[in-house]
Amino acid sequence: MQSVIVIFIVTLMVFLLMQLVPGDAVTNFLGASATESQIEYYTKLFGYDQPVLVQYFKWLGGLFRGEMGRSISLQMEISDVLVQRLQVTLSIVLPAFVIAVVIGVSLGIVAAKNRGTVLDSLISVVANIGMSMPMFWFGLMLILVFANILHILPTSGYVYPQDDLGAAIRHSVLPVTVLALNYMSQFCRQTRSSMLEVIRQDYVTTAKAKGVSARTITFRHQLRNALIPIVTVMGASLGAMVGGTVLVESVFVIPGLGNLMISAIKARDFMVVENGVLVISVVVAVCNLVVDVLYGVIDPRIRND
Amino acid sequence: MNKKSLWKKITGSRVFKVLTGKKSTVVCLAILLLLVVTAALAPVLAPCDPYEQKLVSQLQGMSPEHWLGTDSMGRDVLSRIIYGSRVSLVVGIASTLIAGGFGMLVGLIAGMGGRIVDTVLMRIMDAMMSVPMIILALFLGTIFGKGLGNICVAIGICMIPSYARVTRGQVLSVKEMDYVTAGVLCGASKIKNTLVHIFPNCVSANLVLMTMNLGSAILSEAALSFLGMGINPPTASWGGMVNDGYKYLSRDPIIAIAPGICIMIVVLCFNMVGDSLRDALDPKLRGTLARRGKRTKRAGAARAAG
Amino acid sequence: MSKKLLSIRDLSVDYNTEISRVYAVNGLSFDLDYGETLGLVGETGAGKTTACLSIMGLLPEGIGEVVEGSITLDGEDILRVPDSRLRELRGRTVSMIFQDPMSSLNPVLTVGDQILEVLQEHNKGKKKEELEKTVDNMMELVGIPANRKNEYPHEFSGGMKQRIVIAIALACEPKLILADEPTTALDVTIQAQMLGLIHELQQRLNTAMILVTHDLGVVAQTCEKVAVMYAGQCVEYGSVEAIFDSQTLHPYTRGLFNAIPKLDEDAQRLETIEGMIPDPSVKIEGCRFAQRCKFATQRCGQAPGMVRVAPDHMIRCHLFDKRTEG
Repeated sequence: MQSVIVIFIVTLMVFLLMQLVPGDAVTNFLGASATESQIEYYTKLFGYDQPVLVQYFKWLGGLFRGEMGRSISLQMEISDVLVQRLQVTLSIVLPAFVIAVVIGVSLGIVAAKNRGTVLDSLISVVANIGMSMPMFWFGLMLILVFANILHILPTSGYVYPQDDLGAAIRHSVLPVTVLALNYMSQFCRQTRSSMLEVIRQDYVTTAKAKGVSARTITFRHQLRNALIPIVTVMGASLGAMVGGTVLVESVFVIPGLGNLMISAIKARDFMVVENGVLVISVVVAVCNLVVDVLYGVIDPRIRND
Repeated sequence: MNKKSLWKKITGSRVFKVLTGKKSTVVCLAILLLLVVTAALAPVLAPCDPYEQKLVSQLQGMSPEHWLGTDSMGRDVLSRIIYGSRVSLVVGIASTLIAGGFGMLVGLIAGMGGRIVDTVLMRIMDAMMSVPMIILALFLGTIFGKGLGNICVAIGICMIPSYARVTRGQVLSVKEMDYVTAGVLCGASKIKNTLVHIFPNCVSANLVLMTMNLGSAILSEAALSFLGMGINPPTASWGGMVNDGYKYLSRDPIIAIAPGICIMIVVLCFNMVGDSLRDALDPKLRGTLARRGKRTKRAGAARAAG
Repeated sequence: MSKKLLSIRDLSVDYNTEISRVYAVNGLSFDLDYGETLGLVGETGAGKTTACLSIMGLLPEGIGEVVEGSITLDGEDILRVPDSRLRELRGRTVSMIFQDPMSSLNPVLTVGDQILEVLQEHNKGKKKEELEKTVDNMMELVGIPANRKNEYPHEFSGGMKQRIVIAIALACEPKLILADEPTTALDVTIQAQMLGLIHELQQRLNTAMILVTHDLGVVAQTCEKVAVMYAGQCVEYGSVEAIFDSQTLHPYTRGLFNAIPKLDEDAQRLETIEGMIPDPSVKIEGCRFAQRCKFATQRCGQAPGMVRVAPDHMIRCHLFDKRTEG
């Protein structure tokens, strides 16, 4: 319920704020040579002449009938465009997320277990650099090395997996790496710090006193108790990744959701922006929901609340 | 207080000890100091005019004359990097101050106000947080238009929610303390009580957050400028320079490499100083995310039950 | 019966912290027979817990370090055995009951699983169903209905949690239990109950026990032997009868006895031992108690040895040492 309210606020906020943006979609679409009557015709056609709130609730009503409206700049059904673009974005985001989780959490555990050693410092430095590097710049550097110098991977572009799987993988290696490195660093830092918080807990000593193996101690007794903050960060990141691929998509020229948003903002095609924001905030809400469910699975104390 | 005792007070303080205690932190602070000096003395330090276009000498590559070469319009890259430090520094500091100031205000009002005020403000903050920062910044940037001041405001607004959340959390926990109740019993007004007893308790956590956010503000500006929706050209901005260099990546990669390295080093330094400061001032802040998770869950359950 | 279950010889343990080196245990020696109960008494910081952790091989990694001495448990020198063997011994031959039941159970696992874990670890060949039965038995044994085994620690009270901890410790019927102040964190009302339970189970399973406590009354009730620790050393060792009935006592032990309120005397104030336990990061040459001792003389500048004052009573003090008298 709470997330529905939040989504409502987001879309209303964006809708109202869009009225403040200078310029409008019709003039942008028709260009400078458009006549008065043409502009008037299109403005009426898309309902831009009505009061703002009426427009908003019309759009909202349309959603319940499963209609998002038509894009003026793309001349397509917005729902079709969004579904297609979301698929592209997810095909980059999901592999990156999985890689970031696996490597980030493992490195975090290793760093915490070897606290204060050279290995720990090394991992910390890598994680810090990973978080400080501008994603777009790192993407360019990878292009420079792997495409321009070594010629082993394509510079940019996107191939749909159903068209040519091999090419699709080759095209997504670099963008996935860029995205994964950034989030891997976050997961690694969070894992390290929350592992350090549980590593000397009394129940860990109890477990050791039972004679169980080091692996059982790490995963069953330490990681499980350290997991709540890690899962929180992961949930927030997955939501942010879906909208935040803008930079990666822009560097590698990937026709995803992020690029769509940029071009829609530039074209002042606000219905696309509005629906895009809706999709992104639904994804964020779903992530939050999953995280909440996971809290209960991980920690019985939260389950009973 | 004379000068000596003031100096002693500063060097004896916990913050000073922590910041100078670790070698890596000292190095980072030194680099940041260098950044400030560079930004302040840019006209003196820059070997050339960063805006002077010489179409005859474009994309020259590294040479004794132009250490980092020239860009597509024949401008000296090194000079532009030196001038670009101004943008990064100003955006970083200004947007963080905007975010911190307004965020604390929102947090205070939410924490001290009634249930309705609290709910409304925090739902708006949730809504802002559910849009990825870069998209929100792009959007606000479009509304305000390009330019240094506008970008600062846009990035600042995007970062408000985290300050509001931290402040509200602090307010709620401090509000129940006995000394605040004592203030109420002594007849202090709500506003006075808030300012004297509650506000000071929120400052340190927010200061830590601000240091840690300086880096991400700089990254955001670079990203916006890279996307061509940030600082107006021809003003030199590191993000914009990477964008310029993008097109000539294979011919003259240094144009894109150099400003990127600058961004990375500066952000890294801010992040590391922020980490040390957090460890020193507020070790509890480390678990903020986790506690937020639990609290939301409990609040959600309470609402469902009620 | 010449073979002892546990014999500690000249054990010294140091803690290396970033600030300084702390000498927690300094030349501790004592023995324990099969099935025997030893009360380990002393102030906070005397090194009692450290001694127990050394026996378990559970000194905090990278910080605690045995620098000298030997610990022989059931014929094995546990400071020399490989880690894998040490893991086999833990829980199976020796197990530990910790001070604070609130934090010594893993909050995200059911109590049944936590008891099962130790059984599975040490009965690799057995089927899970069989072990589940043992879990039920153990829970009934410590007085918790077996149908609560699928509940989590936070659903139990402090006393119940300690019962679970006891069940975990006893599940594999170890030869030795280390009970590190098992009742300090509990309500006064259930302390006696808990000690009664531990004692009863120990008798039934014929297990030896080291009971770490501040409470001399508890020692008198449950133990056969007493070791009094002061600043990382054993200053007095003997049978309960010998020490509780004797007038020949180490000055420190005498101080401990005087600090107990007596119902039959009309004292205004309890006697205390003046001063503080010495700074554990400073090495002391002579008698460790000399600074606070009323009877201290010049020879206390030299380290005293253990003196046998009765067949089952030894004291580390120059007062009773005929050889150094003079």
